[in-house]
Amino acid sequence: MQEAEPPFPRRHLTPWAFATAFLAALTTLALIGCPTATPTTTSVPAFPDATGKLSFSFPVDEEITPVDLPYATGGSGKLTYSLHPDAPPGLTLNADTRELSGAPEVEGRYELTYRASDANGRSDELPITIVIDPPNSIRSIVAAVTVGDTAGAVKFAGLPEPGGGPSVEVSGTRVFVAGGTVFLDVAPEPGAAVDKLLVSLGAETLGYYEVDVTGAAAPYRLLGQIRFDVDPAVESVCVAIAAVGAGGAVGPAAECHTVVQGPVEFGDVQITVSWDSVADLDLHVVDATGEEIYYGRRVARSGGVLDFQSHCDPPRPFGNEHVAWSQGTPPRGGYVVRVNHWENCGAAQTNYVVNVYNYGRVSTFSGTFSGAGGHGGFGDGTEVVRFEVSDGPAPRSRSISARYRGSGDQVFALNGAGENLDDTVVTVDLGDASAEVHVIATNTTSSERSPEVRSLSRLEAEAKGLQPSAQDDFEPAPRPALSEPAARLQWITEFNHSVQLSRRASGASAQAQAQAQTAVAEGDRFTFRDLEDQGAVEIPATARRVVTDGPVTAALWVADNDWGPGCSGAGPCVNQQMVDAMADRFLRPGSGNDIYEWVTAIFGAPWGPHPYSDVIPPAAANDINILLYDIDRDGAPAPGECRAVGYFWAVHNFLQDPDFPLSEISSERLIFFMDAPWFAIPQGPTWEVTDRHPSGAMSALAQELQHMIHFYQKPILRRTASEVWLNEMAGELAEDFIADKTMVPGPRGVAYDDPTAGSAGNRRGRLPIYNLFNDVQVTTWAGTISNYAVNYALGAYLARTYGGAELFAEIVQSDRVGVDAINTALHNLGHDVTFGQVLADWAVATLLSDNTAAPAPYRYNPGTWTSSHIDGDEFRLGSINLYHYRWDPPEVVSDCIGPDLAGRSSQEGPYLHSLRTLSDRIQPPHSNTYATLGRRTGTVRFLVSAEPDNRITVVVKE
Amino acid sequence: MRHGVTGAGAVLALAAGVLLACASDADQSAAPEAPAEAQEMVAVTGRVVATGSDPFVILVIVTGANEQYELVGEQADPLWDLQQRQVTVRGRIVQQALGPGFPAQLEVDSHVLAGRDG
Repeated sequence: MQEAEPPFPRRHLTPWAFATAFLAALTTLALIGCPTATPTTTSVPAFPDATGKLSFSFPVDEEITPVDLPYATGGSGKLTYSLHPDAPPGLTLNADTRELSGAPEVEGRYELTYRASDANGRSDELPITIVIDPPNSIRSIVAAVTVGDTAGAVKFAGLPEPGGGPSVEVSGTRVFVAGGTVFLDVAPEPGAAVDKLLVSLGAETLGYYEVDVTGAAAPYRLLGQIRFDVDPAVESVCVAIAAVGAGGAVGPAAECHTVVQGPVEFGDVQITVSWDSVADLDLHVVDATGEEIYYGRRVARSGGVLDFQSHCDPPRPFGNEHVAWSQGTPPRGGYVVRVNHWENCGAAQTNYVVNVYNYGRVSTFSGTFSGAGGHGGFGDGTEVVRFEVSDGPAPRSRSISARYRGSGDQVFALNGAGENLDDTVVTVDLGDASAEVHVIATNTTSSERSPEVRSLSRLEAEAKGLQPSAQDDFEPAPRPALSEPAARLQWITEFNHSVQLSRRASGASAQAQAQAQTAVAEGDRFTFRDLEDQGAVEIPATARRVVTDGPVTAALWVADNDWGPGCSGAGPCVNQQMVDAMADRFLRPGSGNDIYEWVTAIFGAPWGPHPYSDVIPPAAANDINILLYDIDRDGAPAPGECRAVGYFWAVHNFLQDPDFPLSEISSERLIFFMDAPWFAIPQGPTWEVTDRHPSGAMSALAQELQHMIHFYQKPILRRTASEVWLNEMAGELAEDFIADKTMVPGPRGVAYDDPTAGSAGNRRGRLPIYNLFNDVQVTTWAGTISNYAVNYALGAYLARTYGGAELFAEIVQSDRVGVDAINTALHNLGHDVTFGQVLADWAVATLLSDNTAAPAPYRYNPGTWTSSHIDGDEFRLGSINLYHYRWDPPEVVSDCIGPDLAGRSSQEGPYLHSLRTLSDRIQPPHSNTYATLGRRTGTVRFLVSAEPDNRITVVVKE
Repeated sequence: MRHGVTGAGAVLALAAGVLLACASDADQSAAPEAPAEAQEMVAVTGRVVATGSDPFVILVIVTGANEQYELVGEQADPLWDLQQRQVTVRGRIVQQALGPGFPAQLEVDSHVLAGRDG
């Protein structure tokens, strides 16, 4: 195990006070319709209610843009569609797909019936008008022209020759889009009386609209409705308008008013908004899935796209916006259209027209804005129309709304049942309350799939060319990298294959087993071996204390060069007082009074019966050895340095075998190793066992003993793998369980007799590093100091929430491994929860650890002991408040925290990303990643995409 | 990230072993056999986990039948980043098992993720 030296004295923080109880609330919006292709109901077919009339016009002799006619719902069996009495010559309606296509051959106006029939002959009908115009008709571009309530009539002829009528001037829209509206203001010469306006598109287009303006006030506001299926190849049109005077005299056509086409896509559902000023209006369309398409989110998962936008743009007044389902089938269900007056840009008043195209049916709505405009984004705007689309796929994504109750802390599990979040808009309504909003991303497996969480307000700001707010854009403090662990494993593997040691007869023998594990007496000498980068090194040592408790014996060995005053090692040196103190804590006569008894009570025996011939015999079970020596020969640590405080290596449980060079390291006994210099560091002028370093070593005895036990309980006894992360977690918890018994702070880092979470500014134990690296994956192992910290943090949460010592007894004494061992242990103790949910709950508990009233399963910090019992022994665990822990950059470059500390400040409490860096830095596999949106009021929105194995939780803290 | 074994290929080639049905139950009396080059390429599918206790950690692939192989060689390095994932590893057995906790060593030649995990 590794320990890091805290470099700086404590500083103090004011603890936060928080209120009580939690509520989880989840409101979903999902609009679900009925399938139409293969109806299962026995109802009569029916076309759903819809606004707009079914009317089309196409030029003769030209291939039309295929149009999907409306669908019907209900009926029995498959629905078929037809036109009656027949489609115009040259056009064909596909009875299954409802697609109208072809090239019309005969000009004319066709008043038809569109019919949907089911298998039983029942049907519903809609009237439909199809007009076949001459080639290059003005109606192929402009569907209608109106002045006020008066619609113009098409005349298929050229504009009449001028005959002394009044002249006019034309101004207005310069850019049109398919389905949009062109606003033109036609001003006749002063004093002129005008009866009609004649509107043409120049010589290349046949015909003109004639509009009666008698009685209307000049200048005349003329609206031209552009067809939704206008040919995108038409780059621009030249609008030429002439007036007809009161006496019938035709005036000269005004100078060509050029209007350029803005490129948009065609779709079965389209919505446009067009307006008549320099203002910035925004089109918002909420589709059937609840997704809102607007400037802050231009592409919906359903395929809807905001493909044309206009901004505050005085040089190009009269704007348009357009949404079309050009990339997919519009989902069935209800749609909402809103228009938002973002900014007036100097315009006193803005008139707008909204046109909706719904499978061939066009409907038009209008309105007026005045005032400055209110900016705004998601959810804003004036509702213009709701309409229904009854075909298409079922809604896939959704919106989620959460309302904060106004006080206390509150948790919202956005997909607690493992739902798929598909670019879902999450709205947290804080009302008038001021509260911190945090987002947790939990990876419940070790998959590479990462959630994506994006701030909607940031996207909106970017779309408008504005600076994101500081809350959206803050950069969390940089973190140092974790250092690569020592390459000990490489030495081991190479040694195993290359070092030539004395060879014996192949295979371990019963005789060798019998010879192993002879009784140890004080004063005995033995030469142990360790591996370093140059190969095996010998460690002559002497047994300095042998203690017995019933059948169990513990022999404490000390390397000769670390022993006694002025020892030849790097120092400090170990003496008899120290050895006696360790022996007294580890094993002493009597029951329930030593580390060995406590740890074995929880985790099980360190050795015992087994079927193997190549490991030490079962009879060795009661002979424990501890060797104190200078691990890695690196002496005492400098501030900030890491040290191996102790280790257990299972190779010592094997008998030596020349076929396996590694086994030649074995001392053929139950043994673990402790760092002598660390243990011998005094806190003051004289060494006391309660000093920081010796007390840490005492704690580590429990950890290394647990590793010894783990090896027996898993690979030996149950032939299962011993996953490191679980083994190390159990080791950390061994320390935690006995901290108050051995009178050491343990990994919690709080005074052993303090059941509360201690005080702010705590720099001891594992948890300052957990705060700094709380997004490290739990179920993997990289050998860094953060792995110990995160695994302890999870183990501490598990033990305080799900049964303490009993839980860990179940985990270790189990034939299950890894996550499965935890799940099985939880199940065996009657807890209906699985590891993935535990991870998510643990993260919430982390953020709420300053709340002693937090309910289960978020209770890291009940403010008192959490007790459990095994075999009559009580094991007490103190409370944990992560906000009490503080990490300070080491004064010197550490060998476990990377050298890139420039600019790094202290870390107090859990490390929190911004939403932006959360997305940038979620590098799977992680377990939990935390982001904060800061302290907010009102409404907070963000976008989440997450697959079922990624849980997203929102925590609101008062 | 700990990357366990590097540069050991040449040395490993001198070592030998046999492919065992259950690595953790290997017969410890079996003598080393042919050099690595002569060993048959094997493919093993299972979950990649780090086992042991720090600092004596090895990377192991555990099959559905609880067969275990320590993954060694330079090509095993990337597998440290795939802990808890289902992986198919191709390689050669270069050392038989020492015993429980010390499974047979499989020198990795290549690997692929075995579908989506989770």
